[in-house]
Amino acid sequence: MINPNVLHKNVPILQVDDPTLLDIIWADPKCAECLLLRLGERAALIDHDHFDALFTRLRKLDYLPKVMQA
Amino acid sequence: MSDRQTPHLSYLELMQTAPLTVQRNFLRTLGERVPNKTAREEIFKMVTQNVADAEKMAAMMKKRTEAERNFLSVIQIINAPAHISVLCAAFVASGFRQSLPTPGIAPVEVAENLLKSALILCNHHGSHFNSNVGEMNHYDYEGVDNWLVTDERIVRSASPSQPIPLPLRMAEPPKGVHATAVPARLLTLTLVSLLQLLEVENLRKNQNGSWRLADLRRVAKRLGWKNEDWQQGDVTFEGALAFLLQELDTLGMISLDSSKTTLRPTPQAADLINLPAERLAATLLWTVPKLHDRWTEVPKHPYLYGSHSNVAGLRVALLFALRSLIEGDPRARTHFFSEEDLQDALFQRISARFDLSYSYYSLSRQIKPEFENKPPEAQKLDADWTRRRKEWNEKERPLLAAMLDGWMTFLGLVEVTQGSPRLYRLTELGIAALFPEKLHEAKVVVIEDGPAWVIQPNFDLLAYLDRLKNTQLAFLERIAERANVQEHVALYHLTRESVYRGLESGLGVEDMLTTLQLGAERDLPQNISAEIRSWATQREHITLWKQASLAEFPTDAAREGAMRAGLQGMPLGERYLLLTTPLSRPLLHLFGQTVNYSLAPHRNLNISEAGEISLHQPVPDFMLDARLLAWTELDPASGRRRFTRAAVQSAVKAGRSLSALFKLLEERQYQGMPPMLRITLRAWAGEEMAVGLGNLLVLRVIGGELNYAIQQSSALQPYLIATVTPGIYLVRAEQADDLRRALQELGLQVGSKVF
Repeated sequence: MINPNVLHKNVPILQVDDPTLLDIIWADPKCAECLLLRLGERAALIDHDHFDALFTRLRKLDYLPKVMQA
Repeated sequence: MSDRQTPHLSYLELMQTAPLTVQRNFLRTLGERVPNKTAREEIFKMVTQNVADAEKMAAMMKKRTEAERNFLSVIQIINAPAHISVLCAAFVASGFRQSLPTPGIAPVEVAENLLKSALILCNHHGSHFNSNVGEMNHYDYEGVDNWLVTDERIVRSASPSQPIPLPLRMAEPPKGVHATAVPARLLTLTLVSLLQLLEVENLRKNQNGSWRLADLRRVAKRLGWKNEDWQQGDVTFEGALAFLLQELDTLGMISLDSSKTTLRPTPQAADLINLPAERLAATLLWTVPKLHDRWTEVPKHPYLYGSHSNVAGLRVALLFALRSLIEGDPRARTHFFSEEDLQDALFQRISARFDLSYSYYSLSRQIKPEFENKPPEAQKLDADWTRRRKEWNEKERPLLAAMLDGWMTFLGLVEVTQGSPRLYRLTELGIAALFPEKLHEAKVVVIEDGPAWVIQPNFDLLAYLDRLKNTQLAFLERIAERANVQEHVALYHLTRESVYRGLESGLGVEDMLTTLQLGAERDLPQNISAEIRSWATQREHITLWKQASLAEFPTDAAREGAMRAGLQGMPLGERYLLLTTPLSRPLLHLFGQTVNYSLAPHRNLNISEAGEISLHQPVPDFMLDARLLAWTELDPASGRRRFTRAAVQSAVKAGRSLSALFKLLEERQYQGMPPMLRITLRAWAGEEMAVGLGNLLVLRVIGGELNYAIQQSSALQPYLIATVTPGIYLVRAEQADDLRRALQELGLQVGSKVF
């Protein structure tokens, strides 16, 4: 039987401490352009090519995102 | 641009590979007798022993001429392998009696004597030793290999003679005119800040070796500068950031990282910023000549011809001329001079033996003899003098002016008046930096641990520079914005932005507060610690993982099973786990497949003209699936995703870019995308793709002669719209009856069968 578990390495992810915050971020069109998929109510997959753009946009919206390398 | 870089040569390394005659010459200079059949290794051993013998070196030095001792002292001060044209320029500017137009010894003759006695060595075109440097042709002079090197132990006892001061008119400090100098420790602050920035900011070079302007501007902005230039009042140092980076690069304090595109600080950088202000200034000052033309004060200077030019020579000429001023004229420590007078004095001193455009002029024996030996007043009447002065104003003058307003001011070496005429005065720091040989003996001041700043409730932080250890200084540069710096104090602001940057650089909030408290004279105001904690909390609301490892499971139960097996992380949604610790090898068996998104992606997509997507190989690709999700719908019949008009329109409406989709498809497609699908997607995205469809009739003609006759018939042409292929014509439907009648009139039988 094939093992269906998959390990995805080096993926950019947005994580928030409150589900409402993810809704607010996703409601911003410029942030939404950078996001690909909700991974749950507190996380989303970021488009690889738009990581820096999302960071810049969040800073512009006056958030203080914590950037983690891995 | 040439690439004249200082080679890493040592005197003894060169000597070891030198011809035996050179080694013998050195020993003969010291009065050593070397028997004929002495082995090479033995001779070199004698050389190294003699170089290490301070008494012998001192005795030898006493026998050299005054000019030779002075020349060696110039090499000692420069303290690095130096190009011969640069050394000669320094010697001419130094003000030593022999170097002046009268008696007019060519510096190159002094260098040749020293080469013949092997007290200095020349790495000429890799073959080391052409002692007749002055006999070389012009190309040899300009060659990038003519580097002279000696050993510090040889020149240690050179004891130069008193130079004649640069004949400069000194002016009283101007009344009511404001003069400013960069505070001595600002350079350390700037470097600390810059090196910390380079740890995180990407600073890249273009293919031509210049810095990327956008990167420069970003770093400059973070330094608090308006742009890549530096300004103080009405003094502007163009290209200041590029200068500083080139200095750090030349000193080996920054180097390309593993990607070979971005510069990062090297471990040695910490040693540089830990230097006392005077040594730091001296280190940077005497590195300027070594930049050669990899960085120049006046970009695109019309008289700089690559490696032929002697811009480094002009820089050392300025430094040695200023040294002679300080050594000979006590007023130079308190009085000002104008740029105009400095230009005049330096012109008088060096122009007969120096030309910015051509290195070899520094080595010529008889350069411009027509005015070299005339007194200044007579020179002024001389047509050659006038011509050379005009040349100077175009060539050397702009560079010298830019040196004064540029790195001399930026490094804090001169005090500058605002407005016009601009006056300069060497600062204490400048005088110290001009005499690096004296700094080696200076005692290093050790700053004791203790309070070094005061923090006000309004978030101002006043730092006392003489109490500030470099570690504290680096800390402040990480967490606060520098507002201004004076001689003894620096004012910083603690802001939400600066504290955020400090936290992002890896400082923990409690460590930050503890260090702030330890360095403060009084207790931290409560509002400060409360606000900093609040900012740190705000930073916890959103986390951006740049390169996370994410485990995907078919069900929540499978995820729980994996966690019970030892997998650690934060559950996301129902099926994902964000791994928070590195995955140990035994846990890898939990996964059937691993996808690494930092590797080049698979070309795996097959797309039909109807827009149906299938994978060439069933490799999981989370990122690809997610990217296509917005543009496609799941087809329940086939279980595959398909581009649909509704999905494409919805994606475009949401701000997604069709060109980004095409780029993705081109990167990932296994086979080329059907051209019609590309058109379809563009049309669904809103681009107008018009075609026309209407009723036309076809006239078919069989037979070449008949076809030709119809083509040539003026009576039939009005009925024919276009020729599809020979013998097939398009006819408007409403003219069909008229055409039929016309053809019948011409005797033709008109049938209804076309094909």
